[in-house]
Amino acid sequence: MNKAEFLSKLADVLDYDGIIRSDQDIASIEEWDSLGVLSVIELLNDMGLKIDPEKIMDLNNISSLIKLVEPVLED
Amino acid sequence: MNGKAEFTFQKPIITGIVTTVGAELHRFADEASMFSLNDKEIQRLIQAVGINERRIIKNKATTTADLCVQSATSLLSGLSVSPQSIDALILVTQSPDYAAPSTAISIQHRLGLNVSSMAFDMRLGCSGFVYGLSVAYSLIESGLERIILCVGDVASRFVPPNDHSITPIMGDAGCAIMIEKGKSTSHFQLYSDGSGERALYIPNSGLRNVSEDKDLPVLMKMDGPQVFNFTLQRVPQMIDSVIQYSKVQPDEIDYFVLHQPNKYILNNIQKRMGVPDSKFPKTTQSVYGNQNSASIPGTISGFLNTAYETGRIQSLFAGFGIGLSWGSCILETNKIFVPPVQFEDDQK
Repeated sequence: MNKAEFLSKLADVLDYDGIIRSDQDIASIEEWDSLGVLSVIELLNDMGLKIDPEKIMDLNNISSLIKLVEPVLED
Repeated sequence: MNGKAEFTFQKPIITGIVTTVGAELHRFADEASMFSLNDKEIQRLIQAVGINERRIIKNKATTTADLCVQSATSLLSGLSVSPQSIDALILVTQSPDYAAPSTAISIQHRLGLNVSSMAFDMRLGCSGFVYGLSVAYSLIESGLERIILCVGDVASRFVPPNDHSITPIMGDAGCAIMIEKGKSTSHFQLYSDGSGERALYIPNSGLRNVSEDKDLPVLMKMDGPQVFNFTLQRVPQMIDSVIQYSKVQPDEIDYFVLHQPNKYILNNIQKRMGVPDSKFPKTTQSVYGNQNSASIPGTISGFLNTAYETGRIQSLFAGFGIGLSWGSCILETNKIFVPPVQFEDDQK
């Protein structure tokens, strides 16, 4: 999965209407609520990443999320 | 010695299960306004998490012990078993009648068991049925002949009235399970991780009072993402491990009856396990609510009672949650007594 595919998958699991950009603030994504966080945890688990849920809840922007998943993204 | 709780039994067998649930029906659609959610959030909770209906106590004085006594009374009469023939009574609950003494002793008296029988509580939540079963099975393997295991909680008494992450999920139930000496092979694996003590806990409910909990009400508090992450990482791994330990082939297992926290978590586990829908019940929480330690027997009473009453069944049970604590077992039953779910007698 490359970065674009990850962002598309992220929009999909969050049920977000539109395209999520890598420079987007998480506060602008209404679907990033308690259930949304679970969907992101599930997505990262599916990608083989074990990340502390608190780290995900503390994120402010999508670029920080990409930094967390970068090790498993293709170029 | 390898610091591992896994064991196999040859004698104990479950012969009956009765479940009593709260008599009051709550529909999420009717009470959603209490939780300050918008329409989109409500729809997501209904569709993704499976929040729909739940059963809680109607008579607000009803306790877990009352639900369990009602179940145990039906169990004894349904199996035509005399209370005097019961050697032990175990209650697994987080909502006893009193902090002390053990409520199982009062249930023993209310059911008319002999004073020469043993009775004690185990303080566990969603893993509690498997843990309680492991102790009951161990006592049968050691020489006792007939045990009643009671499991359940009146969770509506310990959740906040308006926390959408926990309140609309919880239901009240008390089950009684008869375990007798027979001939049957069962395998257990049990786990616990106290580093997750505060992922799901009731602040200020015991002797420990820490500054972070100052002024917090004595009600269940849940770190949902942490519990979800724990479930994804531990439960599928445990199920694989107990299957491997038992040497039972996965396709020989008729039902994977897991604790029923919500549809979202169960869908995730099912996807990871690759188990077909027909073997993996997951609607209990949508009909009765999360029944804590009663959810596995509650699922059998609610949705699988005909199958368990009429045939030989190989089951995998898995409980997981508060503690953090998790456990699984693989066991056989043969035409057990399982009437449909009964409702709280709220006139008492």
